[in-house]
Amino acid sequence: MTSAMQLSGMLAATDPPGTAETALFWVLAPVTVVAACGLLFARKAVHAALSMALVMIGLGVAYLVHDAPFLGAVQVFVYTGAVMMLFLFVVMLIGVSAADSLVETIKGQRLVAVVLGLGLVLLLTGAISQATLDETVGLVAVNEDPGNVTMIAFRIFDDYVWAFELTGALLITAALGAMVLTHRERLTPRTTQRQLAADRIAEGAVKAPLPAPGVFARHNAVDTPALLPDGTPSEASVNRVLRARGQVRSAEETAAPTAVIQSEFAEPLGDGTEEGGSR
Amino acid sequence: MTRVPSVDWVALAPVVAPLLGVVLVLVVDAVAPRAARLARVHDALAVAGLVAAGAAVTWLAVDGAARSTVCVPGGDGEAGLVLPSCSYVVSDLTLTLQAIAVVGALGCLLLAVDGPAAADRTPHHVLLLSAVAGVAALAGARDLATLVIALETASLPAVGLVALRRDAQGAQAGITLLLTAVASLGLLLLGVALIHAATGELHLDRIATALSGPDLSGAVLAVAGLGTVLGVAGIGFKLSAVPFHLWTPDTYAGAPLPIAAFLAVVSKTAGLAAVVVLLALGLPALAGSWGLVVAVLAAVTVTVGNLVALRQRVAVRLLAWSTVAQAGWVLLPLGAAVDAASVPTAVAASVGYLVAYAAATLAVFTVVVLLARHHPAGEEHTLADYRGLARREPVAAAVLGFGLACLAGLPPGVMGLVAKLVAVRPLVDNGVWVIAVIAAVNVVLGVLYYLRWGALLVAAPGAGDGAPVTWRVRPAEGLVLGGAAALCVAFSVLPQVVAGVLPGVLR
Repeated sequence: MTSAMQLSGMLAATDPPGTAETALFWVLAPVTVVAACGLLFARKAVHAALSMALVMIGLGVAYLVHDAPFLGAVQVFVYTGAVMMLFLFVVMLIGVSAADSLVETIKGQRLVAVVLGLGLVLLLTGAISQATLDETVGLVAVNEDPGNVTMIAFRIFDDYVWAFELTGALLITAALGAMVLTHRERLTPRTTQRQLAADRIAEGAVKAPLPAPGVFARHNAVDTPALLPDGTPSEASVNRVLRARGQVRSAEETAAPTAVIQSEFAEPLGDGTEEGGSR
Repeated sequence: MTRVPSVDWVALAPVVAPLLGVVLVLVVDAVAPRAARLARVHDALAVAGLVAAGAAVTWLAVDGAARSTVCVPGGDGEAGLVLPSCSYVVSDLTLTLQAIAVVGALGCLLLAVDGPAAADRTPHHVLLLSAVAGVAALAGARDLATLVIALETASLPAVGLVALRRDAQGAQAGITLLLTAVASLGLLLLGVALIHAATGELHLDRIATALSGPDLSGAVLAVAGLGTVLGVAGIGFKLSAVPFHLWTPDTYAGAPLPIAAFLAVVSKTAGLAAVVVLLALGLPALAGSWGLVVAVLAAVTVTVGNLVALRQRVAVRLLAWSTVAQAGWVLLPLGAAVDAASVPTAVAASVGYLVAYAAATLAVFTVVVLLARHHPAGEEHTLADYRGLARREPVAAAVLGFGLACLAGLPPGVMGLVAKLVAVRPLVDNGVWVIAVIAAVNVVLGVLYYLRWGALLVAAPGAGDGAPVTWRVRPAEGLVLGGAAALCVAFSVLPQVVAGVLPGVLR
């Protein structure tokens, strides 16, 4: 592989590329093009983002093959690894809808967009078609001294160090600005626990837990009223929905055996153990 | 092969000082968040950052040495000796623009310190200081990369500052400004990329050399010209030149008033700095083509701004449209450039007008801030609320009247009169008569609404007004009021300052 890359590097651009390179190109290029079409035509944002990741990986491999290891690695790390995954996170977090918007928010927006887009295409075609290229020197000459990566370092940390440092200031500002823009101010002060408790007392509702089934209970089903210590059923212990539907068991039905239970209490060692009272 | 970049920190001090202020404010906030006792420390650090920047500018101006830093070495190129080119140059142009930005920002900071900034000291101070650092870097930027990044550093914080007014209108204004900033950045980048594609250089002096060659193909000139137009359009958004001005009224009305003043003074300075640096230093060879574009842009801007301002009733909206018109005035002299030789006088006139505009605008905005604070309608108050101000608040009314006279170019505002004369003179000298006539007509239009406002100050108070509120001017606001008034008076007494900026070589 390395020798193939060296070989392709040593050839001038006018020479035909090596066999391995050609083969790899014909594998990579269709995949990349198909993925690019997927980016354009996918209906779900996640599919589009994944297609774009595939395009970027394809480009990254192409760079590697063409003796630009740094560019290839950066392409994969930064774009595929960081940027696209960020896109994916955002898409998955906010859940973009796949439905097409048929309403134009801004009147005439589509027409203007088409006209401006065509204008941009014309502009770029015009400008790029005027380009003249110097004679190609070949990759070996470019990478020779001091090397591609070193040269990038010189550009960033020497020639344009000032612009680079300013970018730092710009990014900090942008982060802070984003925080200011997305920060939501509380309109009212946060309610404290103390305030919540005071409010509950003030509204006058029952503060204690709803009555438990009680010691005389024969049932603890939700439709059965709890029995208060004096044996009377508690209406508060039944859900008001059940009461409205008339599905509450009658109080007499549950209250009637109270006398039996009391008699059981009076003779706790009697043989009436089938009621489970001894458990 | 090892290289160590040589950086002249003294030359960079006007940029670095506000950034140091940013770091210190952030550190204090990180160490002691929400400590109310430290509020004054934040304020003091921010003011100190700006004062240090101002001191650095002053020292560099007094020192007078030609400094430049962050250079790429020259050498023997294919077409002969290539001189070293620098990314940052200290020159009269750099220092003048930096001085305007620092003084203007100091005024806006002091106006905001107990007003809209009181609730959000840290973000306000940090954003304001970074914007000033951006303008300072922009004024000295001499390559395309630094130019673009510095312009963004100067204009992006304004979005956050506008959004500091935490209500729906403030958010709307912030989003409008953000979208505008993104669109304008796109245009500017496209333009800069085309210029780079045409010349193959990033440093402005090398671009100038590349484009002034004798045997340039028409294609190169066409691409460079296209890039220039797109670049001017991108910067036109920041200057709010018509037709890129649509964000201006809503943003000014939606922003806290001191921030609107900041947009009017400091952001305008950034816009002009970008235009001047790009056009006058990078593309003087194309002056024949961009001169025409800028002239038309300026004429349309002045006319539209003045015509719409005539119909405004709300003070802030009138000021917003008046700054649109004034942006046209600032650009007007540059429209007079017909060849490389006529560029320096045009730039001097532009920057001179900016000096007068900044001082007068700061004075007017200070009084508007004060009135808004003492009026039930707040920032929405109309011109009618100024009726009879001279009887209630004679000092503030005098400052406002003088500032308006300066903006209109009427005596006693000699500063504004001289600035307008200076702005029109290159047009007359170079025979751009159509634009000169349009400018003259616009002087009258401007006088109409500034005078109407001024006349209200001395009019008898209306019957329907309630009991007038006695103004309590905070010390910081009083300082700005006095300082801005002093600047206006000083420049009016010594108008040669406005007329004579940038006497030296343009670099």
